[in-house]
Amino acid sequence: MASLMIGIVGSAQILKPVKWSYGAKKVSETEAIVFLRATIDSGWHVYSQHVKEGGPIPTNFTFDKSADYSLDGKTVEPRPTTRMEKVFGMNVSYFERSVIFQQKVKLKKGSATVTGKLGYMTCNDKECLPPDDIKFSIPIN
Amino acid sequence: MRRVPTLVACLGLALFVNITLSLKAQDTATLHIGDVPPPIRYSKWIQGSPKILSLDPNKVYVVEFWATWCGPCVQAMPHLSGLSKKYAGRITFVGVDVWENSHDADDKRPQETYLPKVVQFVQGQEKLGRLTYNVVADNNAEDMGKNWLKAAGIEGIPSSFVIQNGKIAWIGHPYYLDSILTSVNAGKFDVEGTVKKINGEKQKRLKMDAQLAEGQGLYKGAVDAKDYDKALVLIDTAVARYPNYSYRFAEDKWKILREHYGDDQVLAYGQALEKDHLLGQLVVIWLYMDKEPQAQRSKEFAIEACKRMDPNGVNYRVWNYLADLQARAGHYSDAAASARKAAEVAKADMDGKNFNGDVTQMDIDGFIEKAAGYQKKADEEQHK
Repeated sequence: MASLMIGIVGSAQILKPVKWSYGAKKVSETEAIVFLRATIDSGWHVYSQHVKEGGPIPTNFTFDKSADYSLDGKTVEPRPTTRMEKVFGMNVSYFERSVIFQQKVKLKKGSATVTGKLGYMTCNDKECLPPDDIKFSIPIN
Repeated sequence: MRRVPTLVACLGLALFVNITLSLKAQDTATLHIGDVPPPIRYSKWIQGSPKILSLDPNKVYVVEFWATWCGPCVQAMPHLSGLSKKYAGRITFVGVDVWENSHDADDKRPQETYLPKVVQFVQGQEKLGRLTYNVVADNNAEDMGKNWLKAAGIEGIPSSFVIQNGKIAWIGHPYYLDSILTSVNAGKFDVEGTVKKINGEKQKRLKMDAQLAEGQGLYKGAVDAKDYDKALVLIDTAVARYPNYSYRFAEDKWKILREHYGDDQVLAYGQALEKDHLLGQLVVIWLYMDKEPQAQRSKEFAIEACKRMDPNGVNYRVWNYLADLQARAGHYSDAAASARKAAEVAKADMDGKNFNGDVTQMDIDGFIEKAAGYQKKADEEQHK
């Protein structure tokens, strides 16, 4: 666990209120949990995976298919903050400060590298940055 | 020296952040206030009349960028609608829908596939009386998103451009439009003054970059020629001449000492730098990041310097790094205690009312696990 959150990933944007970092933990010989953490600057929001159509774009994860592992269930997230957004006329769920998404995987061999991409967007009360896609590659040893 | 941002991320010391921010300021924008705006292009004219085919240099425009997913953009619409009514016949407002899709994905859907969603959204807002000015949507080439926003170095929306006399007079958040338009409408908006101010700031920044380059240029030749004695002297000259960059030069000096001189010189330099609070923090980071074999006295120095970084013991990160430094020096029992302290301080942060979200239960579990690992080693040492 000590070296869990190494590798801070960023793209070319200068304004970077959200930083993603990754980690993995083996829970048994054949099972592991992959962690995808967003560290969010004060005042900014990252949205839940479960925002309905017609509002901010939900955070989303796409995992590549692999012979080394298979996904075990959906990507889970902690309980978000939900507020009625008048401008969208609907409830919007989001995270502040930091959030860890977790994906269980079944391993077909001792080690694997989980790859894929995540999509997210971020806003504060004044402005939004456009949706962004980030590729990730998370080793499990 | 692209290392500092990474190190900042590692240690997360507020102090470092200020430095890196000032270094990152680099002007990549190609479109500025005072320039002729790019042509206005769109896939669909969604509402308003008459349609605008090109910007008339004799007219004043507000070109406002937004997207359906952007709450603050939608929130600004009634305000912009009010302004468009107030200046009807004098200032033309155009809302431009952009960035409906992911910014830089390889496999993104073309912009125009979102048109039905955008049209439906605009009609809904129009019915509510919240969006009453002209609205267009960007095209598949994303001419508006690229040639306007990206070209102007703008990353966030909503963003407004004011066009007057065929030139960009102002770029900013629509929130500020009230006062800008008042002076624009009265013919009193000072474009030249605005440009001058912006250019002045840019010049200052360029001058700072030039100073750094000049400083490093002083000793680069000596380093390339492997004349390290000379390089070290010239680095001191650079520090004296450009003190604002002393920490950049210091890292170069540290590297030279580490690679080409002995532990004694490295240690002496570390001790000298530590008299300065910021440089002292950098020394600890350098020692921490340095995975090459170190003399025991260097390891002991790193421990003491790390402790001095956070004399009140309130930073869980420092405790965490201290634990690793102590373990590296073979003090496993101390290391276990520091890791436990990291967990304790982090937990207190998380439970505190000023919690800013920078620590998670996962970190705390990590510290506890680390403490157990070091404790195990300490016990093993004892039984030897």
